[in-house]
Amino acid sequence: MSVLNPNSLETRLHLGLAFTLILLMGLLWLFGAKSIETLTEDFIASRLEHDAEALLAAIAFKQQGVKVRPARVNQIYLRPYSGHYYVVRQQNGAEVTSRSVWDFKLQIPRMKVGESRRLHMLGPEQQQLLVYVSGFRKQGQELTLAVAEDLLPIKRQRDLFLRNFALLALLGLMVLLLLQGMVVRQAFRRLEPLREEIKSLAGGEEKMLSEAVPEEMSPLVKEINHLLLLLSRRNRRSRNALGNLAHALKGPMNLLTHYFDKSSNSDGRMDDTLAGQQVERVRLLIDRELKRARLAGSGSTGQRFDPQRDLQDLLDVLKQIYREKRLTIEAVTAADQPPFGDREDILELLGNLLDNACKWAKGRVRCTLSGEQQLKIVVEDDGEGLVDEEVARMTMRGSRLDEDMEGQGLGLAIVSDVVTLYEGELEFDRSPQLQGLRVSVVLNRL
Amino acid sequence: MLISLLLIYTTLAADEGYEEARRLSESGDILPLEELLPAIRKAQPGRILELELERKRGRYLYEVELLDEQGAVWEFKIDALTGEILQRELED
Repeated sequence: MSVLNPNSLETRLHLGLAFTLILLMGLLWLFGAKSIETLTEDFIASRLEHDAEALLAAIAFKQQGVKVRPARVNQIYLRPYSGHYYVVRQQNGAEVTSRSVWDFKLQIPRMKVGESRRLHMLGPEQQQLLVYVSGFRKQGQELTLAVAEDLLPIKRQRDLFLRNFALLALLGLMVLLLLQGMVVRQAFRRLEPLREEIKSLAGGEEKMLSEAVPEEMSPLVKEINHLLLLLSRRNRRSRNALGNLAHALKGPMNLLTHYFDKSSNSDGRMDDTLAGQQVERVRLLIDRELKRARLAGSGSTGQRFDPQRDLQDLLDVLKQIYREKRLTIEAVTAADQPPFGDREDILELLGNLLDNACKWAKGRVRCTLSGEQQLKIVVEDDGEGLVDEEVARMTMRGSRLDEDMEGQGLGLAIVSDVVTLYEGELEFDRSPQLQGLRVSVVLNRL
Repeated sequence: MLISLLLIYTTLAADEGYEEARRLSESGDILPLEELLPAIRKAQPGRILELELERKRGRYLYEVELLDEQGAVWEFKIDALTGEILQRELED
């Protein structure tokens, strides 16, 4: 999973979904916290209201002032600092408090009759009191009654609940993110066949992409198919044009070859010999192009070189050609050597190398193929080989080696072409085992 | 009859104790309860069950009953003016 790549659709989906989920959970938590707070406070306030009315009923008037009949109020108001308190404030400012208040001083505002308020204030020992204050008139006396309850115990419960809720939400969030990640990955896995197809498209095994893809990808796939169609048409047209040109040139070239052959035979002039060589070269190139055009016509273009099939065919042909020499031609390659490059290119390269080897060999030729990302080809024979200076010279010339190779009868021009095309390397030395020439080629995957 | 009257008087007196305590703490003769409690809580955490203000040989004492987390009831005697813990025992 490419977590930090902002360009990845998967990452964007992950981030987007994670963000909305976190937002949702956060809002839910805030809403829950607020609701519980209001709910508990409303509940306690309504209880305080009832207690205030009970207190009002318990009030009796004596000479020395207001008296609360203890039997008529809840025991909890008698225990010191119990968290439940009341204060009765008379018209003249004198106050009667519950025993639970003990010597603590609660500041209670005066209320008009019928007026009531909810207050928050600090009680003894930092208790957080919710105070319900209300004004009444009893037996002609105006009284302000305040009834209070400590919110701390319920707050503690609430905080515990909210913490557990947050933990649960976090856990849920993680599970959801995990599930969501799986879903997203599953969805993207459906694109895998498409990628495979495009890969084999590059390898020339398929001509079109299957359009059975997720709806979102369908326009893209259709567009690619359209392009492929255009491309193959254009390709065919240009190959045809090349083929036609080559065909048209073939006649005149034959005539020229003929002419130079004749003239060099008669007077042996240097210029004519050189010109003849060049004409011969052009003719070879034309032949090659014609062959390619034919291949394009047969529809096998773009096929890959398959060592298992193609190498054996090639060796059979060579054995046929060099039947007289009774050569032992070995092919050394792994059973699962993967297909590589363009079939025609590799066949041309191998054909030339092997043909050359067979030509010079006394009895044995060996061809070794290996490598996955690169194709390594080694062709060895037990012929005379090259002397060291020749090897050095050929190695030094590098890519320009084709220019006079033909003169040496090695036919390496095409080999060099193919090696250049695949940005590869070409090396000559002496085979340690067979004692003849060893040609090593490394081709890179295009 | 007299005994019952006396009983009513003493319970009433106990009930009125807090008003006496308020007057005394306002006049500075004893410390406010809130300032005395931390010392007791430090000695023994718990909830106050009962509280009485007594006067003995010119000294004001608080008798505090405390319920701890394990459900045991503790009894403290504390000097109401100095906050000194005079007696501490587990009630049977």
